[in-house]
Formats: sequence, C-alpha cells, structure tokens
Amino acid sequence: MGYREIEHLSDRAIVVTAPSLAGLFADAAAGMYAVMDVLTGSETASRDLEIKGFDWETLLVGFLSECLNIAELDRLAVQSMEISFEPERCRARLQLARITSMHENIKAVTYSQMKIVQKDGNFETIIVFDL
Amino acid sequence: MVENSIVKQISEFTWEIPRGAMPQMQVPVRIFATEEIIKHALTDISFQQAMNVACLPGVEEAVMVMPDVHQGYGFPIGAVAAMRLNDGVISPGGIGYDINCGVRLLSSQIPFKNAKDKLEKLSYLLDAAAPSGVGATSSFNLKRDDLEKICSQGVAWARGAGYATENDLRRIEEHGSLAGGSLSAVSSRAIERGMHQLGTLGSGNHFLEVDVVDEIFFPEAAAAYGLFEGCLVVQIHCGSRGFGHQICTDYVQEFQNSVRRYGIEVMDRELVCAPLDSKDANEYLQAMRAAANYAFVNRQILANGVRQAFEQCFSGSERGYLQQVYDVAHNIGKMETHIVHGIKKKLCVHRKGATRAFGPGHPDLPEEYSSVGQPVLIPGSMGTASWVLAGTQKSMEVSFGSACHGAGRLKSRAQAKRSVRGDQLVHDLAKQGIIVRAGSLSGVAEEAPNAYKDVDEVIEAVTGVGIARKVARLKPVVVVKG
Repeated sequence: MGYREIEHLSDRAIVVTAPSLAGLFADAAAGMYAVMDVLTGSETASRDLEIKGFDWETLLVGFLSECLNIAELDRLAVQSMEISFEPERCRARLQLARITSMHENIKAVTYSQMKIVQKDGNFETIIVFDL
Repeated sequence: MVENSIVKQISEFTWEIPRGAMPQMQVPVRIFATEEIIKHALTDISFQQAMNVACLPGVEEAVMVMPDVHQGYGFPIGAVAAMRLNDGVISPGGIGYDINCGVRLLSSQIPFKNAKDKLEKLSYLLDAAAPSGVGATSSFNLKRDDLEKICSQGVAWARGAGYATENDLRRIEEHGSLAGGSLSAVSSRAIERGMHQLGTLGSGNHFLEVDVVDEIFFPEAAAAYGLFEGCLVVQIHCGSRGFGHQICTDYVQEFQNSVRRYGIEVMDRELVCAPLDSKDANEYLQAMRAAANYAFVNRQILANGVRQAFEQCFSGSERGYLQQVYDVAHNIGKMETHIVHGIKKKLCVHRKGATRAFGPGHPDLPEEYSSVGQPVLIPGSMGTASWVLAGTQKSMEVSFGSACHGAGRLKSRAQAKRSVRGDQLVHDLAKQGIIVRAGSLSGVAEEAPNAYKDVDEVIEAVTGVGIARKVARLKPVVVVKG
C-alpha cells in the first residue's frame, strides 16, 4: 500500500496502490511530494478544490496538477485531505502545510502509462512525472 | 518493447519500421542511427512510442527518429512528425511541456589561454546572472502588459526594452517571434506562473556553459558564424519555465475531451490532439506560440546577463563582446513548407527533442548564413563535447529540415545518482579543468556525463546520413547547472 518509485529513463515514475480511490489520490499526492523531495513545517491553511474530468485518470491528473501548482506558487503541500467523487468531478478539502524545502522540480504530471485499475480489491496506477 | 526483427536497415545510418508493423500506422518510422544506438533504443519503449505517433491522423511521409532518441511520454524524445494541414492534427504532448526549450550560442574572440585565470571569477558572475534551481524566481518586475507583449512580439519586445540588439533578432529561429502568439488563449494559472520566472534558468538538464572552440571542421561556416578556434563561446539551454509547462498541462487536459469529440483514437493519452483546422487547435497554437515567444525572451534576458558578466570579467576588451551565433528551439510545432516527393506542402512540423536544420539557400536564414546553412546547436552532457553543425540540403529532403538536439539519455536519474556522487563528480570535473557551479549536488549527479550517450556517436550518425554537417566541436570549461 502507498507508493513506490520505479525506474524511468528520462523522468521519474511511481506506482501507487490503495484500498480506495480516495486513498489512491492521497497516496499519489504523497508520492509526488516524495519525488519533489518536499519537507514541510506545521499545518497552516485549508483549501477546497473542485476538479472536473470524465474518468478517474483525468480527475487524478487534474488533482495532482493543482497540488503541483499550489506547491510552486504558494509553497504549500497537502498534509491530509477529504475527497468525494461525483459523476465527472471530484471535490477535495485540503489541509496544507508550509513547504520548508523542495529539491526537485516537476514540470508536469503526465498520462504516460497511467491507467487506474482495480486489482485484488485495491486501486493501482503508474504515474510518470515530467522533470 | 519493439522486437529487433521489425527494425530494417535501409542504409548505413538509416533504419525503418515499416508501416505494416502495427495496423493503425499511417506511415513508417524512419530512424537515423548507428547499429549501437538502435540496439540501445530497443531496450526501452522509444520505438513503440514512435510507432504510436505514426498512427496519428494526417501524418506525412514518415515519423523521423534522431540518433539521440530515448523514451519520453507520448512522443519519444528525438522525434519529428509533420502533419498535413487539411487532415492532420496538432498534439501538445508532441511539442512537450517545456515549450521552446532550446539553445542559444554566443561567441567571443577571447582566447582561452588569456582567459584561463579569470574563469573562476566568471563562473561566480554567471551563476549570479542566471537564477537557477527548483522554484527559481526572477528579480524582473514584469507587468501583465509586458507579458502580453512578450507573448505576441517575442524578442522584438526585448529589443524595445533594451535587452537585445538588431543582430540578436536576425540570428534567432523565426527572428525570436512566432506570429500569432496570444495571452488570450492562456489560463490565469499559466499567467501567474509566467509573471515570476522570466530570466531564470530553471533546473534539471538546463544549463549555462562556457566552452572553448576545440576544433573547426568547416572553416567557411565557422567564419560566417563567428567561431574562432581556441576562443570562448557560451551556450544557454533553457525554455519557457512554468509558463510553458502550465500551458501544455492545460491543453493536454483539454484535449482529452477533444479526441472524444472529434472521434480520434490515440495509442497513448499523452498523444491527445485536435484537427489542425479546428477551434481547439487554433487556441492551442496561440498559447503554444505565446510560450515559445516567452522562451525566446527568457534566453535573451539570460544572454543579456551573460554579456554583462563577460564585460565585468574582461572589461576593456573589444574581443570580449559576445556576438549572437544563433538560437534554436528543440521542442516546438511550426508551420513550414516542405517538398515531399516533388510536391510543395505546408505542414505542421512537430519537433520533440529535435532541432530545425535548414540547408543553404533557405529564405528563412540570415543572409550571412545563406551559403553555409543554419547553425544547428547540439549540447553534449556536462564534461563532454558539444557540437555546432550546419543544416544541409539533405535535411530538407529527408527529415523535414531537422536534426538531433543533444546526446540523449542513457541512464535514469536514479541510476546516474547510484553511479556517482555529486561532490565527487564536481571534483573530478575540476581536475579536467571544468568548473561547475550548481545549487544541488544531487542534480549534478543526475546529469553526470555517463548518464548520456556518446555525443560524438550521435554526431557521426547525423553527419553520416547527411542531415547536418560538422562545423565545430566545443569543449566545456565552466558549467552553471540549473
């Protein structure tokens, strides 16, 4: 459960496995911050997000891209979250903490090799980050 | 991964994966490479990615793969695909997240032997002139009105603001301005990211490098380009920063819907696209050109800082002025006219990790380069040679006027870091006479020379097939890593 990094020739990639779709999104964000080598201080803010998408993959890319933006522009990272899924959208309430250091720049979250599948009662996908 | 047996050798440096290798392929995949490069590329998914590109609607003649090929996302890195305007598509992933990532080369007449003792000082000045690293922001106080002009005018804006000379403008691909760039097709998120990053190098494989012209192979072209054996030159490698990344992210997301709407089947979701004659494509083109113009200006601002550093370091030396040699994009989509089987066609040429390499006599070249062809700038890895090539008539005939863009990755970042420590590498390079300035030692290890292919072998392949000609080899002496 959680995430683990896998080899990728030109970029960085993780495999995320979680017992629920909500858990997959949370672990994907944690995995992305691990790739970025993010360290955080105490919790400072909360924020609501609404992401539109027609399938799980478009929602996940949209969600992670927004987290990436918040990290770059506001220097905040998700510490915990509640997320709910509706047809063609998801809504998340994020608890955010100040980023104290960040050592790797991710240009984008890609669809490359991404396919959210249900396997043995878990949700799983590969996520490739463009560096 | 693609089976060895489906890659057929056509000539010494040309290979082909036939159209029938996959039923959806519209055209073959044509690869320019040595046998060794082919063997290595077969160990990752780069050829499969090229075959997926060959399935896109309206792709013309063949998907061209350069010898610096390696696995990317959607398109492989080192690929060229030209799309017909009437039935073809544009794919944001086929241009990449770092829109108009590219290279600029500046030349001096300062002999290395006279400058040797000042390089340490120069390295600190250059490091200060190029904000780099993760989340690097600019000291530039950019206003929205400026950003609008940058997006629509490109380097002409920098000329007006005093950051560029008329000669700089003449010696940039498209004169540093892609027509039709507009902020109106750009999201507020991208604008927010773009406001704070102009004049920054960024991180990853971006760099600023001082080299010595080590050897000249084509004296007529070297003279036209202003390259002098034994003298210093500067390369600047970077792109459109968070502005371009966000634009590509926005449109890859948007085009997930477009392919459904237009009924286009793609083999990989990073290949999502829109018909070139659609409103979706038009909006993306406006945004992509805005980012391309931003990137040209970004390199211009950095070049301005580099010139100031040189003036400070070599004050009073007329030979110290850095002349622009050229500035090329290697992640871009361009409307170009090419002759295919004797018929003149206007095409949308996607270059993803590939450099425009127009041959002698092309009307888009500055007059002084017309007899020798366009400068093609090929940075090597840190610690190894870089190359200046010249575009040829052959490139116009066989590769949509394109050549390679670098050495091409051989090891993943993690493998590179396992093979060498950053501090050890900086020490080893110093012993070779190369000064490295970098914010992150881990980042230095990721970009270790052994993480890349042998650039000389890549150059042998492109010059062997004839799509570019050797002009000069450059040897690094100062590297400022992003």
